[in-house]
Amino acid sequence: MNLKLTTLALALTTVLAAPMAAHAEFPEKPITIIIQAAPGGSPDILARIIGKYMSERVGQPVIVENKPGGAGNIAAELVANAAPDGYTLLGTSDSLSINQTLFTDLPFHAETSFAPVIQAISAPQVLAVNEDIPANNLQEFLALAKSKPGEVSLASPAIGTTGQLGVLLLENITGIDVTPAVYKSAQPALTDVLGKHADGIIVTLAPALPHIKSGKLKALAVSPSERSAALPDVPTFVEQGVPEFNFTSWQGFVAPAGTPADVIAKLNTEINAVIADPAARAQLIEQAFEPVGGTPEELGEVIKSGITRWAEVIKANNIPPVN
Amino acid sequence: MQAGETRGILSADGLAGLFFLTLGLFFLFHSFGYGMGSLRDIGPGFFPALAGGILAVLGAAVIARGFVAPVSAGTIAWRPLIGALAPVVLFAVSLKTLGLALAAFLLVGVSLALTRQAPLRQAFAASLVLAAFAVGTFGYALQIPLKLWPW
Amino acid sequence: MDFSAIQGLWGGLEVAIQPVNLLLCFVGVVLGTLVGVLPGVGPVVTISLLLPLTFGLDPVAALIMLAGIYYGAQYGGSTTAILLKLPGETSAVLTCLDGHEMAKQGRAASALGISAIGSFVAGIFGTLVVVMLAPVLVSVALKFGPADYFSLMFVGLIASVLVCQGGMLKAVAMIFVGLLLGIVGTDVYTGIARFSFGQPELRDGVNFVVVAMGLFGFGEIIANLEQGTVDGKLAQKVRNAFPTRQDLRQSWKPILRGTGIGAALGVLPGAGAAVGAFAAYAFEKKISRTPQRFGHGAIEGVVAPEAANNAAAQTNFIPLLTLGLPSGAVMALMAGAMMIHGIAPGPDVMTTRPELFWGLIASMLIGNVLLLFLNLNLIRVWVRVLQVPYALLFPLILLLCSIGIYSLNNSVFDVGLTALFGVLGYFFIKTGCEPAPLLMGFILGPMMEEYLRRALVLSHGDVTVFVTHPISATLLGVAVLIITTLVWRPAATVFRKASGAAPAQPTTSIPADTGA
Repeated sequence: MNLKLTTLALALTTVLAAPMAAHAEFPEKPITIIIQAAPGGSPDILARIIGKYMSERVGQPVIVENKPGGAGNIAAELVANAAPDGYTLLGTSDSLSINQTLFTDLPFHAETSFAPVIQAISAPQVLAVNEDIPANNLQEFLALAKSKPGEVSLASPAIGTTGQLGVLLLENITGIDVTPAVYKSAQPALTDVLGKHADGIIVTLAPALPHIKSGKLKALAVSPSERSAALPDVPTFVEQGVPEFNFTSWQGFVAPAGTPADVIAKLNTEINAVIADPAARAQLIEQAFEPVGGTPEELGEVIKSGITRWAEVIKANNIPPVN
Repeated sequence: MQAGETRGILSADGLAGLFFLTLGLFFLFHSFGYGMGSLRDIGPGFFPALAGGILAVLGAAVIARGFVAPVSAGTIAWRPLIGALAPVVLFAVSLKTLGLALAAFLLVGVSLALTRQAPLRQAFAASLVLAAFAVGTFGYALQIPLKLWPW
Repeated sequence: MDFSAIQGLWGGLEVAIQPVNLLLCFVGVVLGTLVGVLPGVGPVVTISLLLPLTFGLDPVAALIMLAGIYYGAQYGGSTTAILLKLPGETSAVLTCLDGHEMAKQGRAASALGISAIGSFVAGIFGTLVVVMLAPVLVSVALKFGPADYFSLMFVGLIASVLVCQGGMLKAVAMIFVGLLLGIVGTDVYTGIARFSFGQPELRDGVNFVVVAMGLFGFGEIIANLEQGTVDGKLAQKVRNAFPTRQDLRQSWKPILRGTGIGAALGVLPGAGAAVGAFAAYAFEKKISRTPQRFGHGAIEGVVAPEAANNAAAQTNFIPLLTLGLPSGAVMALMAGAMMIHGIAPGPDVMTTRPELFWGLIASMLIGNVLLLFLNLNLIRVWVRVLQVPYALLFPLILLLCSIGIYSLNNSVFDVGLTALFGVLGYFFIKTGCEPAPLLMGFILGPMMEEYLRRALVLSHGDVTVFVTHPISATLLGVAVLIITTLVWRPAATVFRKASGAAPAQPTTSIPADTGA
């Protein structure tokens, strides 16, 4: 058994190492992507898809390491302190921007501790309620919530996610008062909404999509300002009179600050190429991700504007800082 | 067993109770810093405070039993204790710098030397064999990502 | 309904017996058995490492292999638990208790054989439950709200007191130690890192395997080294025999009961499998006429939790396959694998991709048959482990555990922490505290807190939810019943002693009633 596995492993290594001669310079050893989620979560799947195609391109294994917990700060701290050589990357998301304000005394800074590499994907957000809630569009939902202050419960995936902040943002903009319920991840939150223990949820579209299609969840509004191709009939928040609720969540990769510019450029080129690869692209779209790509500077801008936006929401809601 | 001569706090129940009491109080006091919250929104300190408090009470009860009906805790066998666990700590410390091959060699060798379970030459042979086995199984067959060699 | 299920299953069998699928099913279960046997290296690590390799495979084939790893690891896990008292996951904790005792008495082959048979029966039954009852069970599972989960966990904790042989007082205290250790880490609701003392490694909490390996595995090694083993081996004589007729006679009912309990609780995400194994063990001990045998090599104590955990391993697929809601890390990886292959897990899978749904189900039946043969044949190999000189065996166990624990999180901190729990395990042996309830508290504690807080958030601070929700109220009723029988018996004994030789008919008949 062991022998066969070894042969398999050797064969694999040879296959993977074949194109190495073409890029003798930067990746001379395996690249590790540390992600902020447990195996099976959407950041995990993203990193494994990107990692697989990337390793074929660069001729080095790409290892995905899960460091969940601490609202993603554990993984971020590890990468912030890693050697700035491009061999350690952080697979991250909006939480990088959000946590900058949500947490005090973070041992890293979202902008200065990291060198942006690329935004890989963006994902639309959806407000959905269970089938018993007497609301079929955003305005009906807002009217319902206003008629019963504090009674309607809105679930969100986890602390430091766009879902959690989205609930608060919606309260701020529209003046409704709901009971926010935070979960460990999207799945248990959805389970409680499906089981009618919680009334509604603001969450990334992908995990909610099958339940919306089966009719167990009613999608009331999506963000950003364009409708999602997966749900062409569901109007946006902007269309339904809430223009301030207009954002997507994103996922992408950053390296430790101080990583040489040519290494960043190489990583950016390779991941852009993966995102453009039809096979990889199809797998990303299958996950209801919208492939993005672009330059490191563009990701830097996204992180920066995210910090500003979420800091306003956090301050407006008087959320006590966490340390 | 020493026929249950050890009474009171040094009996099995006394020591166990003392551990429970200390741990309970420790968690209880630390919990206050985390905030108790309200019934509508219980804070992060509430549950550990409750559990810590109950554990402390249980600990006191166990100690009391150590005085009423003592059972000896026996003696500590230092050689097996250190011989089994020190090599594990050594492995943890050396894995990232020396790599799996050497760390595994050290773990096996040191554990055999400390516990005196095998003569030196056999211990050396065992360390070599088991280190090779570990590198083969985990490093090459299962492809678990870890550093294998010191270089 | 039933008819279409049988038709579907037949179609699925045709898919599953295609040579490629059959081969990958075999590869999956062999690999699963292998990683299940290795302490610490569990199905999560293996499946996440192999996931990218399955990109190129046909989706049915990929899922068949990954599922095989998962339930194969359930079989393999019990092997290590029985031979070496190393529980790789919660449900194996119970298998350790009596299984390792049996091994020490030279009955390892019996224990391994009967647990393979129990696992097989449970695995097949669990799969059939998935086929027949999935839609019904999932609607029941959805009815479980936070309050109901809280009460379920409460019952689970009470059941873990029943598992103990020694004093109840210390058992209860150990549950609370577990609850507190489980709380270490980041608070779900606020993001505050509790009791982590600035250690980044503790912000994600302590891993279950670290606690279990330390308390059980390392504690046991120290105790073995201290007492010295007979002839320098773990078991003096190893009977190479398969389970005897008597073993089977003693086991078949516990297997069926354990299967039922496990299949039912396995549908519930999170704690289902763990509570199932504990409940199955506690139930057997409770109804046994000789409860004092438990913990000293009672075969019922091996097969009931084994059956429960394997049945649960199959019914765990129900939330994923019917709703697309994974109920744990392994199921989340399976969901990811499905999505990578362009299949959205959920209610549509059965209708849009029947060959996948039924192919996977049918492969589980085949996989369980393969596993039965594989494991029965491996017994001869495994029991030789007990004949390895302990001087060579114990460093090997230390090494395997250390590597396994490192691989969980790529953390050397965890390896050191396991050594610390080894010290604690030795302390508990010396002071007569049993670690099983601690582990149960450790698993259930953080979930219990999460559900308690969520139940109160969603009920807007109304504490009566725990008794007004019917499921929760029923579960709490069960808990009260168990507590009365636990407290009643000692109290009745005291009362009888106090009242001298007076006949105590009424007091003795009552516990018999409540205990039923």
